[in-house]
Amino acid sequence: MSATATDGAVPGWVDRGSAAWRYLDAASGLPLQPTARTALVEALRTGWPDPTRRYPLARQSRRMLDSARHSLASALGVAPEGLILLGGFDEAVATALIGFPGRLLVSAVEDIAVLRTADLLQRQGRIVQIIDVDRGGRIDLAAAAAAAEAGPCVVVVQDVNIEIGTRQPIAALREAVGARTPLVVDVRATLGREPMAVHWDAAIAVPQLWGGPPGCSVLALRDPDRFRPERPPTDGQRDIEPASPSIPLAATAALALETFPVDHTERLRPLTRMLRDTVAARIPDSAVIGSADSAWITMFTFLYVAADELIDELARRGWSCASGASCTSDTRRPHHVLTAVGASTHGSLRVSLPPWCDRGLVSAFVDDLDDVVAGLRRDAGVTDL
Amino acid sequence: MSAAAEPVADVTVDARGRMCPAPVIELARAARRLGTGVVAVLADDPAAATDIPAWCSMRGARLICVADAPGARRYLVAVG
Repeated sequence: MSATATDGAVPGWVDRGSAAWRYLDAASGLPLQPTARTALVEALRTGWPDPTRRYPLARQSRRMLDSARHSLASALGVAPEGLILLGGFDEAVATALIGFPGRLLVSAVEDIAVLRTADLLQRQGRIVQIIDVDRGGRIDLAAAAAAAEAGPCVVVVQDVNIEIGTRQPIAALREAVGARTPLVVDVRATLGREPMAVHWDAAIAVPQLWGGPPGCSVLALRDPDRFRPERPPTDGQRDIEPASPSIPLAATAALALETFPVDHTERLRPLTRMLRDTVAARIPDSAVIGSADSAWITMFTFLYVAADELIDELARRGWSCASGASCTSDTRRPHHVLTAVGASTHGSLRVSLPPWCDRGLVSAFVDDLDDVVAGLRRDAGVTDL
Repeated sequence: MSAAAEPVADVTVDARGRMCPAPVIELARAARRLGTGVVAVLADDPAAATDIPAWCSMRGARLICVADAPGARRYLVAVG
């Protein structure tokens, strides 16, 4: 097969024909971009000195940190002073939720990390309120408004849901809860890709989603003065951030965002449409869960199929995808996102297309998916149901 | 119409102790055998609380009511 323009989106990111080529779990993170690989090694070589020191050796890491901070802050639309570099997504969530006081209003389709953090804070005495969503996964604006009326609170929501691809009406939510209510928005599904929500007080982003390094996250604040993190004071300049952010990771994350394909959404939206249309046309008793607004994330459900068997069969054919929010044998609990939108909790499959995806990849996947679903239904004796 | 007495089930499916998607599969099998009528499903898998209504909406069936039963919940579904 000859190389096409599509696998040149970022040359050398993933080799056509390699195991990673058939990776359809981009919403769980991407491999490091090739330029970022080189940059990370260089940043580890030169960005090691403590940037707060006065000696000349520290200048390089100081510059590297400042430049990464400027670049990431500008992509998120905040001042560099409002940018906090943290460890994994869970740390960003915990930092954001602790940093804004008041009752916690959390949509019913938030990430499990958000729900677990809210649960912990609730046990420590914080009031937590779950805001329902409709069958498309959209937050109940009236419920959010009523909850905000009751007193000071903070709202946590994803602008596009990373499991089901539903876009939340963030501007309308801002109207509903009022300008004084801090809005914490998880922009993992949109930053660098699709139009990102702007009406937030804090945004959480994860570089691995755009082919940056794993193990880091970004918390962006519109107004750092409103933010009250609970952490030991540092040297005084930037008490909102831990004392030692990883400079090499920050520098690489910033570079990867700059080199992420700018045509990502235009290229992937037609492929996602093709995926949904061909699945609907070929696989009986299948459905798309949520309102499917995303250009790259789709959650399917297939009646009578067990999600973990589906994932394993697809894996045997070389495909890496997630059951997403399905109840699988390891949890044995229906997933909160599927329950919240009233979707079938078995047989769910989240397909999130990687930037190197092309039509050939989608059609090869649908061929295998069709075959695998039919086979599992045959084995279970449910073909005629 | 909501004041009417709860319809009697034509057939009862006991899916207690079975996990998703088994309760929905058993419901679909019973619905197919029955054609038109009312199927009662006994299930203790918490996922059934979401799966059975979802199956009804995908299949044009109607969930009449859900009630507590010994060690399980009882879902009454009008099919056909």
